[in-house]
Amino acid sequence: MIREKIQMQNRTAVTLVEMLMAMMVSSILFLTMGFLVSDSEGAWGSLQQRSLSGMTEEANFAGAAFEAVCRRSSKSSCTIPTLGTTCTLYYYHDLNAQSPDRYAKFYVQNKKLYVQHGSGNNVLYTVQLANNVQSIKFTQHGDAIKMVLFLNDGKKAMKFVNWAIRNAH
Amino acid sequence: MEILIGMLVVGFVITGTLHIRYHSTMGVLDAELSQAGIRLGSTIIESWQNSKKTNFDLIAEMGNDFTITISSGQAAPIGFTKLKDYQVTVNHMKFLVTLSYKAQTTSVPATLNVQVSWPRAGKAQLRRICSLTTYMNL
Repeated sequence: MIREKIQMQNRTAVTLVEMLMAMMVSSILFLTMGFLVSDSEGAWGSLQQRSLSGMTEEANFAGAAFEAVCRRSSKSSCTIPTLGTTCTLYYYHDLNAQSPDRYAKFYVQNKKLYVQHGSGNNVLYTVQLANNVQSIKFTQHGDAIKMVLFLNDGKKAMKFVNWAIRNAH
Repeated sequence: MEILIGMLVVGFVITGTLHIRYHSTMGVLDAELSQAGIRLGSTIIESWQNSKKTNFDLIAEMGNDFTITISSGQAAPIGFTKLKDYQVTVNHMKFLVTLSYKAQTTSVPATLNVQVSWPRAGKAQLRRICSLTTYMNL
């Protein structure tokens, strides 16, 4: 009899109340975690989409290419049509040439921005600079050329402005 | 007891994952902000240099490209004459831009300086993004 009592006192099982309490606490914790995770997933998902879309990198690449060409191009001439959707700059590839011997034409085709390098009537090579171009506008301001680039990937739209002064004669 | 310990461990893992994601995303956004600020400074100083005048009006020159308002709160570098402070909004990011210059002398062309800072919300201290200097022949 005494042995049975000692065995009952040393039992390791839980009572129904203890189990219910544990289930209640765990369900509250799980619910809190669930709300926290789903909430942060939504918020950070959109933020990550914005930050990792690559739009800024593409605009930086396009801006750097535009500035590099523009800075070594001739002040004497450039071709920008009235709408300003393309821009042709003329630069010296051969530093001993009497006049600019190369051209670089920036244009948009199928929502992609390209720069085409050529000499006279010959196209030498074309480089793609950016995707998801919504619009582009080039304007001339004295020696400087301004490029206003709108990129839109359907989820976010951003505007990028680049100025570069032409330095060659 | 084991269940609670298990849940605690799961909780730590979830919180840790969220923490890493938060900091990595904020790091990328911070880089984007810095890039936008530097690009803005570069664009402004190039435009100013092209204008060939020290009394440059940023709103008149670039008001069509950005949302610009007159602002205050940033000192010019030592030796430079402050022109104006502006608040410039670029793709929903707000920057404090300060234009300052040194007048042209017989031996040295005019020196232009553009400082771009980020006015952190709720904090008095500005975070300097860039300070660009160039010469301008008048």
